Amino acid sequence: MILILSIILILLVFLFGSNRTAQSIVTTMINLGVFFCTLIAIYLGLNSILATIIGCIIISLITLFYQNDFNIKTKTAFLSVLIVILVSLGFTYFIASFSNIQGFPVGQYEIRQSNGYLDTVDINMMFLQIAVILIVLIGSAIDTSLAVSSSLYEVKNHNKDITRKELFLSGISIGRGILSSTINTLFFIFIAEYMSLFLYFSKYYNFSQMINSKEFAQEVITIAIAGIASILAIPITSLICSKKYNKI
Amino acid sequence: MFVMKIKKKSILKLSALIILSITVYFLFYNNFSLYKDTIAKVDSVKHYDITATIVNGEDKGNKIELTNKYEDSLVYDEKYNEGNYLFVSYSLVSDSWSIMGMKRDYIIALVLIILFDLLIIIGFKQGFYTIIGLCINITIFSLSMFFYTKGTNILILSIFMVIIFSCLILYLINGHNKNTLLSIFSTLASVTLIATISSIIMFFAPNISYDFMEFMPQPHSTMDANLLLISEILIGGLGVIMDISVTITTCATELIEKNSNISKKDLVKSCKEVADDITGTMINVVLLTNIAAFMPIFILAVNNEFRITTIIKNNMYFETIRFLTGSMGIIIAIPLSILVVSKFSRRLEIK
Repeated sequence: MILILSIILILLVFLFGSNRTAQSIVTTMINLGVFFCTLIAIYLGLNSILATIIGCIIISLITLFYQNDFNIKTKTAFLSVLIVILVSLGFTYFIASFSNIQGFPVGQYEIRQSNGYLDTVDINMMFLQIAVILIVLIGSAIDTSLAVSSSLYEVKNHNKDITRKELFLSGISIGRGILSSTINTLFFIFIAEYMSLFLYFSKYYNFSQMINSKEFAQEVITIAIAGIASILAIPITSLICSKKYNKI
Repeated sequence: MFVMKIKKKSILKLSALIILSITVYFLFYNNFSLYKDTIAKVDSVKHYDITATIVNGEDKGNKIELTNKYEDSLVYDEKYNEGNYLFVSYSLVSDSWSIMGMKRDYIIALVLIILFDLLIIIGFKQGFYTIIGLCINITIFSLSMFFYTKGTNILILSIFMVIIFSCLILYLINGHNKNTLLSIFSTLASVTLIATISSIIMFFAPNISYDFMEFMPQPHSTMDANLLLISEILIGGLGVIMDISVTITTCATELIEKNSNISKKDLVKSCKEVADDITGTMINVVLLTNIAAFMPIFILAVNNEFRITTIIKNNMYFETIRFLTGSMGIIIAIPLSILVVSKFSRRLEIK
């Protein structure tokens, strides 16, 4: 089924897409490769958070500079993605260590000692959970940062004597326009991903068990932090743009 | 003078928001009396031994001893720290207390409060509408889960959800106007198209093995599982498809209004240029959000010497399907939105 779906996707790209759509499919494949390299690096013993940060930086570099061009718009977007990663990392670390959401909930996965498998690894699962959150948030952070920085570039081009403060404020108002769709995109992907989990909850759990369970906490915290990161990307990108674009 | 006034007003609003948030957080933090289960606060932790104080119920104030064994890697176990709240239960047989789980509701509340506050501070009115939309959507989703336990077909529920979600969100974003109607049209058309394509493939392709679908309610028939997968495809693609539809319909109506004699070729060309800017990063978002949760499973499985290809084939199967259908949705939504605008835009105006 995956093969047929892939073929249809590629056909659709050739039918309706332009060269840049084809290019974005290539970018996505490269990013998938980077994701696997990150996983293998973690398996080989590299610290999960470090490996993921490096992976995220490479993903942003490819998405911004290969798929789009190397110009002032993508440079500012890259800078703000870096800052967003750093800010969210601190926050994520605090919340994740506070809430014990690492690893698997009891009963989720089949690899257990009772099945003859090792259920211990030398890898810190807490760090790995933080890595998961980082991978989720990087996508939406790049999306938001690039949208704000390229729109602000147009604003600056059309009003040459715009002040820094005005540029910053117009960045915020552009961000407001895309805020809702970013949050909704994340929300729907997560609902779909965990639909079977929710069916399971509604069958076997009551409300108080659900909201205190590890599965539920993992999911809600991940989506909420991704949302927080993409909102933070709006003022951060606007601020950097308002400083950088004034020099043009 | 005027600027000062606005500043004062917004500082007042900001402090009201912060006070409200802190109050809500403390309500969640101290909601022990709402629970029937006994809750204890961890006082001190010494290796596996925990001393805790019960904070609700009949035994309130009693100090108890607990043991919590864990592996250092914390794959399935949890390690508790001072200040954590635990659900505990008393067993008459062994005359001791044991840990049932951790209280996490206040942490979830904290993260959501920060998200909502940021939405309001940065997004103002739009942020507020987004929160309302989210709340209504969560309510509708919970209601459908309730109907599911009562025996309603999951696919029928999902189709209803998709229609309600898209109408509601698009109205909240755009208000009642022509663009909203057009984008609802093209969103629903695109979602229907990818769901139909996937169903047809699913019907002809070899049977999918659902053994690796997490949390699949047992027992289940292949038909149930197929319906669930189609429902996931429907809802998973909805967010991005809506986004594209809104962008393209807004752009296309704008172009038609500015120049009503615009040729179809020019219209398609301009809209495609706008679409090009957003498709790339959006496909990336769909990829990363779908595959991230795969990381812990991968590490655990590779550690057990599973072959990497086997892991990908089994455990990443559904993530890959959702990624592929989501991307298909993005690409299909572009020409469909242009088509819907060029066909219906004028007809709506006559009304």
